[in-house]
Amino acid sequence: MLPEPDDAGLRLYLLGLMPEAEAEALEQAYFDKPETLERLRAVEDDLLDDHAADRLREDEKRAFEARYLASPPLRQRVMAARALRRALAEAGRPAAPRVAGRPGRSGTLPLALAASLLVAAVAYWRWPAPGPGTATLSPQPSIEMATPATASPSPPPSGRATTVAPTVPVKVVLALSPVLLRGDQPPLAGRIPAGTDTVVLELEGDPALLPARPAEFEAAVATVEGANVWRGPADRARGVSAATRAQRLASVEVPARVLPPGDYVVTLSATGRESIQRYFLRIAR
Amino acid sequence: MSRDPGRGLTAGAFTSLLSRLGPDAERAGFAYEHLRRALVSFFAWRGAATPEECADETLDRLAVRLAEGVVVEDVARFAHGIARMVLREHWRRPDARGVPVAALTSTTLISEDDPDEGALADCLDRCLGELAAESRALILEYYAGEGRARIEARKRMARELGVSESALRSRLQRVRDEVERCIGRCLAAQIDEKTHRGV
Repeated sequence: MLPEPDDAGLRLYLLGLMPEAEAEALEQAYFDKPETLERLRAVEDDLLDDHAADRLREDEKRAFEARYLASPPLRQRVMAARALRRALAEAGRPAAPRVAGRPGRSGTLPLALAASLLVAAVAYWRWPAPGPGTATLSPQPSIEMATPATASPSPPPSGRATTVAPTVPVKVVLALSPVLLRGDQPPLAGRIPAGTDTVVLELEGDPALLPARPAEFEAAVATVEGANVWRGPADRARGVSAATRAQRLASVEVPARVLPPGDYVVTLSATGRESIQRYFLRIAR
Repeated sequence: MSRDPGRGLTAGAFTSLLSRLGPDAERAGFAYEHLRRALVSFFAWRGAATPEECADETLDRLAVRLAEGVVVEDVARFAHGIARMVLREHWRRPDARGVPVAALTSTTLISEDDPDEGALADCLDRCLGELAAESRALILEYYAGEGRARIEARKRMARELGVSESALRSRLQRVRDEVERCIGRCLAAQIDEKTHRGV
């Protein structure tokens, strides 16, 4: 077997300039090894960026355009690279705002959690507008409760909150964000008012993490010590959270009775596959 | 990871494929996703007009052959052989190539249906806006700069995020793929709209 080419060699493959026998060997290597495919995609990104920035030599440019502009799927990558180049130029700086925590400080939670844990738990109205039969009972401004059975499109009575009938199921919505836990600040805690039947967890995150092909999702709730508390189906959600403006991946309804005050880890998975994202959930007293 | 039953692949054939790819559901699923990604990349880099369709055709044939009991020592190598055959068949289709290679010149290619800068900027705004704030910031930082400065910046990012450079690269690759798909859809929609308006 031929040794794997260096980055310059990979670039020759992408430009269609690699001898056929070597190209076939490389293809077999990236069919076999994910890391080889990733290397190749990274070299391709650099190639696309170099083209967008007009940094290719004339011969490279000719080879690039003969291959990449002739194919609609590859042309899409060229357009995306141009768009990205524009965004970087408009940003006008070499570095974007840092979104994770401070450098050099590792989290205090186990490594498996630290990779994808939550900092914030935000609660908000689940239904479009508080209507009749919806009451705000929370001692904290960030947590409210709603009764879906009464989420009527009709306008609420002026200035009055009606009493919630005790037989109507009451839901509380918590939006969980997967954020690296590195700062000193503790995660915000959600509070579940007495009388709540169901806690709806809106799981936010990067849609790119979801599998490309259709899948069923499930969520599991465990204490931070590892005791399983609940497991059930999660509904794929789309759109942007009204509270945090972040992308919603899925929502899941958990019986409130299984969530006494404490710290929990919520794991979102595609059924039968590895986890997609984990979240930290703190329920306050 | 479920296959589209409309393609005629039986559940048994698909199960045979998965069982050859990994000893348990998780590893088989990971290997399947990798193989499909490799196939899509292969067909795209080899200039097929419909890489996803060709990849699925390859996987179907692979699964059927395995279900028939064909002895396959190296599934990846076998898949590569089938992919080359599918590619040759693809080339025989009249709609296989978007633009005849002989007709290519830089100027004609770029001017024919190249989106204007305004359309590109609109689509980019929309697609970046659909990303989570964290992903948006990461992608802009990851692809900023060039040369040695960019390499060093990426090392620093990985260090600060507490992940390996390889894990960071994988993550950003997925985000970039998503942005590419989004921009492609967005530009296609704009072209359709122009066509309907007769612009």
